[in-house]
Amino acid sequence: MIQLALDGGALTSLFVSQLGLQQGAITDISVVPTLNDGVVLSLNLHIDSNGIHRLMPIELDGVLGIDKYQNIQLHILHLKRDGLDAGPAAAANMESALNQMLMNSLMPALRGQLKGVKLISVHTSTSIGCGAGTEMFVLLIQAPPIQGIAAQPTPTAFCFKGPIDLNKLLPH
Amino acid sequence: MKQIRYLHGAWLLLLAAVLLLGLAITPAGATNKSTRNVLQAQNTTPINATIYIATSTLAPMFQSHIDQQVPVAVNTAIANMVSRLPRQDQGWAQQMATTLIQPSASLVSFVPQQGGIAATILLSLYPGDPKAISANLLFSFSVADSSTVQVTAIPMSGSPSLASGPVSTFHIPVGQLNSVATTPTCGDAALALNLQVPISLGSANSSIQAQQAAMISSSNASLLTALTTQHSSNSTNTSNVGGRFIVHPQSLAPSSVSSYIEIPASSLAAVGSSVGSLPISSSFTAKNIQVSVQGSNLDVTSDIYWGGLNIGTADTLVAPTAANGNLAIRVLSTTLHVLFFNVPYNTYNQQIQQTLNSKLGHAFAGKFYVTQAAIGANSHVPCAANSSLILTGITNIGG
Repeated sequence: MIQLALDGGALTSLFVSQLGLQQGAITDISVVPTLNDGVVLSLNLHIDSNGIHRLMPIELDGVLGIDKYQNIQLHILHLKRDGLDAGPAAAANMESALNQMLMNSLMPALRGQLKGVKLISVHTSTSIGCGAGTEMFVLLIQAPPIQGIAAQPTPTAFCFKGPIDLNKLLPH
Repeated sequence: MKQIRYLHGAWLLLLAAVLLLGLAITPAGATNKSTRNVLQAQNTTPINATIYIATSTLAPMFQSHIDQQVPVAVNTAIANMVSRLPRQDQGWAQQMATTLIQPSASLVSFVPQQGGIAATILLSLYPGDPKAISANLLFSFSVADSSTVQVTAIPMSGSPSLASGPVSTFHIPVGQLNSVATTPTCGDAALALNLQVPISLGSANSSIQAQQAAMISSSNASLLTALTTQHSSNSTNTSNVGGRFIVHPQSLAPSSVSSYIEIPASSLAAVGSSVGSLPISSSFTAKNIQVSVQGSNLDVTSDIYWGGLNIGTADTLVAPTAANGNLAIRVLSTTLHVLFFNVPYNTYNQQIQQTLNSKLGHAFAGKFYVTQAAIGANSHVPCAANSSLILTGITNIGG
């Protein structure tokens, strides 16, 4: 068992690489793990068209989970535009869109790197040893034996802080 | 010599008595028969008219158009942006964008001025948007074709260019469009549409009455679809006579829009001269009919013919009114002028009224449903001339 622990910087870089930011329409994206498997995704949406120049801060408060197909899923609790709650219907729609994004973009990329690995759970924690008390997003995976690394009775934790390359999550 | 003068005077009195007797004993059936014969000839008189559309009529038309166009424009912009993404990302990106942005725009001001109507539009990117974008545009109007007004948007200096260039058209179902201009100093009126409108004089028929009824029931729907992108090639044959039509909303009925129609005295005169001859009895016919405005009434004068002989003139004072959706008149008095005598003669007022009303009855049929008629400007149409005939009615501008 392996714990892949990502701090906000690492988690953010994963989303940035998958969101395919178009022509600066989305900037200042940030994904921060929070207490009780929570995550806060924030970004600035730039609308520049027909003489309109508008910056719309977006914030998503959600809870991380995993579905029966071992896909990371987000349950969005609140969607805020300009700091204003958009209501449950908008939150549900955004949840649907984000989970599509996770399934169509992030998960295939993750699985491509974690071949033969079973995703057991996702959660947030401050008690990961290498996290030094930082709230970390933790992927618990069951990996096949890796040559050169002895099987451990307790999960081995790997911490990623700051921007990461998805291709270097696990040692090859 | 004295005897000759007496004889001459007696002859005149005798002639006058004969004329009056002839009018009095005319069989009603003969009168109606000759009336029908004249009215069978449909007579169309073109008048040069101007339709003034009230600001409070135009603004909802524009708001309706904006309501339709803004989501279309934004969805198109989103689709263009999303189409650049990899195919597998287009679905969620589209859903994300449409979740975040549900735009709407509202007209917050709509003020006629020289050269166009200045509009302030507040664009909200989502319901309750605290940072709604304010844009100032000048909508100018021009003639696209004989029945279509072109609306062009010009962004004002320093304002977001929400729209620029031709943005829409609206259809004028009446007459042939000559010119269009804004009317910032004409009370409720915002827009002046100068038209040539044919006015039909003759007997009404069932199809015209059905057209009138349909106009009333469909007028609201026509307004809601007023700003369309379709052009119509409808046109009518007309020629120049002055006239004005003022459109103004009223709360007559939920599905109707009231109009104020101004017909200047010159137009009334032209319409009068186009009437031709009017049978008064089986023996007498009114010809060379002239219509003029006299205070709050209309003065109808004509030459009276007995057979082929012009034996005098008739002067009938009428008050304009409305009846069953049509322009009508109510005869107040008639005076006969025979030689040197002015003889009040009201026996045939009812007959004259019926004859004139049957001619006027469908003058605006299918174009305006007349609910009121009066001479002179009123509080809704302050720019109308005091000598004009003002009709209040219902029209289908924009339909």
